[in-house]
Parts: sequence; C-alpha cells; structure tokens
Amino acid sequence: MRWNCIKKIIPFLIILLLTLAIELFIFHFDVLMISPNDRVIDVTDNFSCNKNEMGGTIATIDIDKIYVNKLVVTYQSEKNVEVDIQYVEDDYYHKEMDSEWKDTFNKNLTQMVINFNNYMTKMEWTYTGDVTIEKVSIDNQIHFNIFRMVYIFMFMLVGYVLYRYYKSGASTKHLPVIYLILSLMIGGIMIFVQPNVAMYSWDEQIHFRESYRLFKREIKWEKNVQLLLETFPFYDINSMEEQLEQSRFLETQSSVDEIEKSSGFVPYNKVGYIFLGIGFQFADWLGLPFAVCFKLGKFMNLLGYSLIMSVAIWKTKVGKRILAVIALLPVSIFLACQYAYDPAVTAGLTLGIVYLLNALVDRDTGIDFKFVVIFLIAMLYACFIKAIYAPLMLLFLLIPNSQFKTKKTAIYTKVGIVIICMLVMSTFVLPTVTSTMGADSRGGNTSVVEQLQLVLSNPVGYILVLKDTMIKLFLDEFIGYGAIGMYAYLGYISDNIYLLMVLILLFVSITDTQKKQLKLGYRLWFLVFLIGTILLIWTAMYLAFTPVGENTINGVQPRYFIPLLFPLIICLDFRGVRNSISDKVYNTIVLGIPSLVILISIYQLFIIPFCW
Amino acid sequence: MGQIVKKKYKIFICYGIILLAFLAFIVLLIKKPQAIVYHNVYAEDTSFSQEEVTFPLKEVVTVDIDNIQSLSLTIGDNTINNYSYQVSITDLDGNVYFVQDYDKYSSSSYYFPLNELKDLKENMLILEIDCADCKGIKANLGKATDKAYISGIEKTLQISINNFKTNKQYYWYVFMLLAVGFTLLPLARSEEI
Repeated sequence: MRWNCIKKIIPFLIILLLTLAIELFIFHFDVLMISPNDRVIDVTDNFSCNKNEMGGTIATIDIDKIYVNKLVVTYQSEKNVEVDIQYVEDDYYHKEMDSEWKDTFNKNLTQMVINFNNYMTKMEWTYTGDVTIEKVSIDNQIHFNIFRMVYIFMFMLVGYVLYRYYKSGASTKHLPVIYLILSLMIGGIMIFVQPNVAMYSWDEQIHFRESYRLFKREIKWEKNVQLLLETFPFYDINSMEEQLEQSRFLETQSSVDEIEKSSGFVPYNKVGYIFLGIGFQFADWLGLPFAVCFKLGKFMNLLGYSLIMSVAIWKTKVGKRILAVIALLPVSIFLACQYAYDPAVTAGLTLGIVYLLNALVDRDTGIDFKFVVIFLIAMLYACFIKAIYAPLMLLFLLIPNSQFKTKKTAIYTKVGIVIICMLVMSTFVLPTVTSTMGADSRGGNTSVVEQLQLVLSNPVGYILVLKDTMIKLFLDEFIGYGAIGMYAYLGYISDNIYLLMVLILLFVSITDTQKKQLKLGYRLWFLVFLIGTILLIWTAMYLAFTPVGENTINGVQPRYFIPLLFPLIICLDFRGVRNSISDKVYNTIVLGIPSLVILISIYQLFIIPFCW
Repeated sequence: MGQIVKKKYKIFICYGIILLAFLAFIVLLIKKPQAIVYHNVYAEDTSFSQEEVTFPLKEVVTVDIDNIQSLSLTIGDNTINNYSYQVSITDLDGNVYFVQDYDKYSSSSYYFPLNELKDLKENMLILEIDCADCKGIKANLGKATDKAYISGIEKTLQISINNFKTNKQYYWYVFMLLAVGFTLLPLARSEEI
C-alpha cells in the first residue's frame, strides 16, 4: 500500500528534479561559467548621460566585452518614458554585431531589468523625459525563474498525463476528462505567466470593468483597478523581476477613488461575465492579493469554458474527437484565459448544438424536460451575450415529433422555442429597426440607420459587397491565422505550429468517422442556418462597424465563427474514409498535438517576452 | 409516492417560473419608471461637412430624471487620443463635479459615477473637453452625405445619462421567464404520472 503511494509520487518527483536541472544547467549554463567576481558588477559610474540637440538624453555604457545576463537599472520617473537602446553584442561566431532594444521607464515601477544573455561591449540609451537613474548593475547571478520553472514542470506533466492516457488505452470514454485536465493545466500555465495587464485581448479593459462590477450594489473603484483600466499602463513588462514588482505595486494601490451605487442586477448581455466576476470576487472576499484576484477571475473563466466543453465532448454522439480539437484551438484557450466572454458564447452554443445533433442523429433520443432545460440554458447563455446566434435555436424545429412524449407536447414546445428565439432576437432587431441602436464609432464614420437605409434602398449593391468580401475572406475567417492562432494584441503563433494545428484539424475532420451520421436533409438545413448566421454576422458588422457606403465589410473577426466550426464540419460527409488507426494512437494524437501547439505558443508569446 | 413527488417537481418548477414572472411584472407596474436620457450631440445637424474644431468643446445637457447615478461619455474618434486633454463636468453656476486630465492613448470611453448630483440645484450640466494641443482638428458636424472622413470628435460624441434602473430589461426578463415557463410546462405535464 505504501509502495503504491510512493510509486504514484515518483513521476512527479522526477519531473520536479528534471525541471530544476533544466533551469540550472540549460538556462543558466553561461552564468555557471562566469567567475564569481563577475556575478554582480556595478556599472553606475560607467553610465554617462548627455543631452542631445532635441533636449533628450543620450546615455552610454562602455563595458569591455563582459557577459551580461541581466542589466538591472534602478530609476525614478514621474511619467512613462520610452527608451531606445542601441548596443553591441557578440554573434554566434563571437564577432561584434549591432542590435537594438526598446523598453520603457514605467512611472509605477522602480526597476528595469533587461535580459541580454550575451557578451556586450557597448550600449547607447536614448530617451526623452525626466528620469533619474539611481543605479545600473550587471547581474550574472543564478535566479531561479519561477515562471519558467512552472512552465517546464507543467510541460512535462502534460506529457506525463498524455503518456498515462496512452498506456491506459486512450479510451474515447475518458476523452472528456483528459481534455478537461489538459485544458486546465495548459490554460493555467498561460494565466500564471501573464503580467497583470488588462490589455492583451480585444476590449479586455471593458470586460474587466464589467466583471469587476458584477453582482455588487456598491462598487468601490480602487486605484489598482483604475490602473488596469487605463490603456497601456504597464506595457513593456518584459522580465520576471518587473512582473513581480508590478504585482507588488498593484497590492499597494488599494485605496478607493470612487464609490458607485448599483442595483446589483445582472443584465442579460452581461451573463458572460458570471464566471469572471465570481472568480475575482471570491478571491477578493478571501482577502487574497489583488494580482491573485485578477488571475483567479481568468482561471474561473477557463474553468467554466473547459467544464462546459468537456460536458459537450462527453455528451456528443458524433465527432467527439473533432470537438476535442476545436475545444483546444489556441485562440479559444487564449480567450478563455483572458477577461473575455467569447469562450462563454463558444461553450454555450457548442453544448446546445451537441444536444440538437444528438436528437437528430439518434431517433431513440427522447426529448424530455431535462433535455429541453439543458438545451435552453446552453443556448440562452450564449445568445444572451451575442443574440446574433439566436436563429440557430430554430434548428430545434427539425426534431421529429415522434421523439416527444406526445404530438401536442412537441408542438407546444416548438412554439415556445420559436417565441424564446424571437424574444432574444428582439434585443438587436428592435433597436436597429427603431433607430435607437448606436454604431461603433471606432469604425469611423459609422451610422446604423444610414447604413440600413443604404442597404434597403440598394439591396443588390449590398449583396455584391457581401459576396466580394466573403469570397476574399471566407477561408481565412475559419482556418486562417485569426481563427486558429491569433493571440489578439500579443500577435500570432509561429507558422510551423499554426500549420500543425491546421493539419490536425483537417485530419480529425476527415478521419473521425462514426457510426451515426446526420441525414442529408438535416445537413442541408444545418448548412442553411449556419450560412444564414454567417451572413447575419457580416451584416451586423456592416451596419455597426463599417463607414457608410463602404464597398467592404470591416470589423468581422474570425473568433465570431469558432462556435460554428463544429456543426459545419459535421455537415460534411466523409463516410467513404476508413480510419484504421487504433483509438489508443488516434486519441493521444488528437489531444497531444493541440496541447503541444499551445505549449509552444506560450513559450514564444509569453515566457520569452514577459518572463525571462 | 416518491416517484410521484419526483415527477411533480418539474411541474412545480414551471409554475414557479411563471409565478415569478407575474410577481416581477406586478412589481414593475407598481414601481415608477425612470427615464434614461440619451443625447446624441450634433448628430442632427446637416449644415456642415468639415469644420475646424475650437477647444474647449462644450455641450449643455438637460437632465430630466430624478436620480442620476452615473454619466457615461464616449468620444467617438481616436484622433483626440493622440493628445493630452481634459474632461470636466460642471453645472451652470460653475460648481465642479468632475475634472480629470488624460494622457494621450487614454481610452475614449468614460464612466463617471456622480455621487454628488443629488445636490444639483438645476437639472443642467456642462460637459467640457479641453485639448490645448489639438490645433487644427477638423470635424464632420453633419450627417455624412459625402464620404468625408471623420477626424474630430463631435459627430460621434454621445452622452448618455444612465440610471441604474434599466426598466426595459426588467420587462424583457419577465417575458422571457413566461416564455421559458410555458415552454417547459407541456414537457413536465407529459412526464406526470
């Protein structure tokens, strides 16, 4: 018994030891070779400042080919001041080469730490602003990087989980649970290594503000919250030390600036913030540091998304593996790890569509109270946030009456679903028709009313605009970079892993054959509704986000189509394909490759820029 | 007996939802509705295509509701975000309720909780945007009948006075609850023993 327990712990201990070894001997290899006398070198005296013709400051540091692991600058600045650093370092052949680095003296921090990890000869700093440099030193000490170590540990742990899954036979029955575990682990790493900034994802400041306000009758706008809501308060946090200092700084900014009264009522279009709000406020109620509260909000969002998607994978009778890959799309996991409500839309719609598909592929599926309750909760959860997907609820009408207890029940239920769908659609149709809906002014000279008038007075013209734009962008919106590998303002995942993700998505779409199939008639109806929804999304953005009279449609983003990916793939017919790959190999690949893609992207887009 | 109770709970849930909707409806009927004032600045002007904007930019807003809880201000164009500017809210007597300086690249959408407005003597406020460095910004002041590009802020300056009682949403929730309750009721009844 005791030996069994020890046997279970041994792999974790091995992974921990490997993590320490990798951190020490690989990431600190150069530093280990440094003589103890060169571990910390104070170069403040070598840092000479002069004024240039434009009133800015040029500072130079002359160092005689010393290895610089980290350059630590202690400073005081009342404003954010951008600095341009030109420096001379060694290339791979130990010849000198010119390089450049841009950074910022942040008014809220006191230390700038730059990771050079190379031999340097000379540096020239150019900046405009009043900055007092207190100390400059070269730090060649061994610093165990907590972010990097957690990443390495979890990377290997993910591999171990997949290995155990493979060894146990990789049964499709366990796919939902393994997906849930992997999603939480990988998403957890992503959340942990990010600086506390509400600006990495689209409209994140707005989503964070709304999550912060949720459920409260008295909203105390603390200074740290206001700091996160300002655009770019902490850009250029690019080292472990700066990240940790930022977290400590936020903790000191808990004074309340303003108090706002609220009813505490949750409007229908804010239900997507429920998980975010619960996470943040639960942590706040426990008295945890602000940085932890901020991250816990994100983690709850990830938990909500992962739980609902794993239920969808568990319940679906078609395309389990396809759904697992879609649930592990890098964009989806990234958004689930931010203050964003797109994951709620994706998860809710997916679960609702899974229930629909189950009823249509399997005539034995009885439509009972529980079925309709879950279907309604899932669809309304998504459609309350983005009512544009509401027409998909009408696919419920395809379910044969024979699957209900009585014909009368079937009719009443279907009429009820239609009325509910119309009520949801009224939230965006009525404001548009009564000219009370405002356009999004970020699109430029926009006006919903004028654009609608133009479309109605010249429908053929609009159809041509729609046709041209869709032909140009259709594939890109579904499997382009934006749909699969764009991490909002952080950039794109690299080409190699993007292609790997596209390949695995195409592979599983074609080869995940199943015994139950959707009949041709149902496929056609699904396609009609899906295409209708796609057209609605394009039209909505034309009305709200495109300047009046434009010949293209602006503002459509690929993440709007992620919830439609699964039903679209199911509508395709690959019955002719024979898949003789064993479940053991197939399921492991299906979960392993997306996991690997996301883990590599975390290293490229988070660890290297923010956590080194 | 246990099975009867188990089956009947679904009916109880449906009737509970419908009852909740009716109760909420009655409460809404009894409660005095509070208006939301929406004021779209300059949107109705049609006389100009492009005009240079002079700062400070002022707009007087008439507030015709009992309880003001907050004010939200959206500055429509991102051009102004390239400059440092100041936003202030005062009444006609010059009492200052809000003043804030914004660095460039600040957000163009603001939410101001106005805790002191209950002391307002007159129901009129002045919203002012001052931008000392914003020389030569042109603005489209009218409805865009041509394709003049908006480079200023006035066309899309939207000021909405928000009240936390958004009554329209409450009524919508009532209808939604009724619809859900009546949709589920036949299913619950069909499973009744």
